[in-house]
Amino acid sequence: MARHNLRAYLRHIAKTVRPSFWMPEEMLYEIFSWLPPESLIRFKCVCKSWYSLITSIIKNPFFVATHLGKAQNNVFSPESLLIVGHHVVRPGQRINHNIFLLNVSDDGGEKDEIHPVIEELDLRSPWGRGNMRDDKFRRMMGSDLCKTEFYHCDGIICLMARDKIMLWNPALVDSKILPPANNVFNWKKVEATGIGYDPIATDYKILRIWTHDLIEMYSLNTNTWNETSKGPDKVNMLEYKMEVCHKGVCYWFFNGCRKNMVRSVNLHSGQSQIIPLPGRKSCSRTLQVWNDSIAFVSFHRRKGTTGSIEMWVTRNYSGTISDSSLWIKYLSIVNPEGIRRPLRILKGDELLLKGEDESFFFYNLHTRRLRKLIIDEIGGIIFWGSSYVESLVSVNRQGQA
Amino acid sequence: MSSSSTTTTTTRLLMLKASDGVTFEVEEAVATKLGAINNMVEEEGSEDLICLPNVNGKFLGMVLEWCKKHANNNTNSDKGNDEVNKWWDKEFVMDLDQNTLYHLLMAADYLSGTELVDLLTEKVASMIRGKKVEEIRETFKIKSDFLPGQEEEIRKKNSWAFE
Repeated sequence: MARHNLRAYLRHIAKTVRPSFWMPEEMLYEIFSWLPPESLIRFKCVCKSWYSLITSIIKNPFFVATHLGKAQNNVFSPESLLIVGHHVVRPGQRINHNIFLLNVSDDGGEKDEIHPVIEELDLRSPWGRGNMRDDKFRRMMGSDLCKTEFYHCDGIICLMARDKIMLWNPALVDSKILPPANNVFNWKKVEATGIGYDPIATDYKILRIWTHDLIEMYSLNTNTWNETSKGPDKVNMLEYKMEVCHKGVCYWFFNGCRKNMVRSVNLHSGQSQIIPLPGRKSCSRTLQVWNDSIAFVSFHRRKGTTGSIEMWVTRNYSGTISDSSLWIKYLSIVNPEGIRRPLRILKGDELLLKGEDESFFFYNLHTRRLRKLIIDEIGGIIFWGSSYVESLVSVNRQGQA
Repeated sequence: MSSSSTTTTTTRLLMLKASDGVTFEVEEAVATKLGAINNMVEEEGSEDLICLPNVNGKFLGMVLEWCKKHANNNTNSDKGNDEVNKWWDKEFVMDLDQNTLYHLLMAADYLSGTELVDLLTEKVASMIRGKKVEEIRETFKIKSDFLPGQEEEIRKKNSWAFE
């Protein structure tokens, strides 16, 4: 009875003392899941209860995953691509490579030219603030930025220099350098690298595939490297850079084959497969995630023609592809004047293409319209990343130094 | 999908009574967009009159307006309809003042209207996104209860988020 009275009293107090916009914690949780990381971190300062709520939810894997889903739908910010290039400089000026975000949000699509907004991303980099200088980066990573391999996965940027690998989440100003693997890196023997999310283990993994029968896999959850076998096949010459990772499977193209082929590696089981792709041998090509499945875009050219771009899709419930996948030709652009290379498929169903002389185009998959992307300030783009998301995925897991 | 089914599809009507006595007569299919009402209806032998002592008539009316829109379009969920609903939702939350938004959110939460809670919490977030700490305290009528020095310490630790 006494307890009942106390509760009634507390309820009464709460009613009278509560400010008019008092929110239950579950409601704040919902609201917070719609906020970009920067706002969330800043709002820790509002009061003690917000501080403890935010501090705990940004470490809660379920909240982080919900938040990531919203970030991927571009709730907080318009779609932007991660690129690495340098500011256009006058002759004689020093070239500094830099990481940029290219905001490609659609402007209604009436014009034939698109002028994306470009922003520098390195302001929150671990190698120092302000305008990044290559030498600061070199001191930290033992290699130049322009010689570094880049990946992006769920807001984590992965930088692979010769013998150091860094993970960095700019939205959280959070970074770390991975512990060294058992095998010392060797340019001649590491044939491919990659990164991806393993949905079964809810873990991010980094891969190095060696020319001999070895795949090294780093797990962010355990902060350790493991080794698996890549299988008995004898086909080598993978492209160094991973094409895409989707539903826990990573893909690389083979170089020097007479047909288009990829190697897949399952991040969970470590199982690897060689998968033939449709169409004639490409001059340039890419694998992209489109409508939650894998699409293959290829440019090829025969002598005396300007070539053609083909886009192939496959419908698998799993969203992955295998050697028994059926491919359907979705699109064919014959004689695409001046186009050399398919780069990405964006969320708005725009196919990003590279033309001659560092020119770039959007080709809309529905309206079939070609528009030019005007990037005046940035030159020498060495990396086109996937759509960047501001995520709460920390690269430093709890309980790890 | 055959039309041989002869079961008469007379829609059951429910009476919802708000805290201030205002009642609403709504089709079951509309009201059951709200999880709380769905639960009550699913209980066998439930009555047609449902009292909701925690929701004011004004906000209950708004919640039901939203339900009506989303229940109607539920049957044929093609992409075009999705777009129409999105547009309607946008209009629905566009000019809500803070007070209405707050009470509507509380009502939606009490009635377990999950999708509506999503819509409203996103709206609240869009209003506070990018704001300064002081503005947030003003908006939510919150007083800082940090001990002297504590707030400065948090700011210092995360200075990048305060630029």
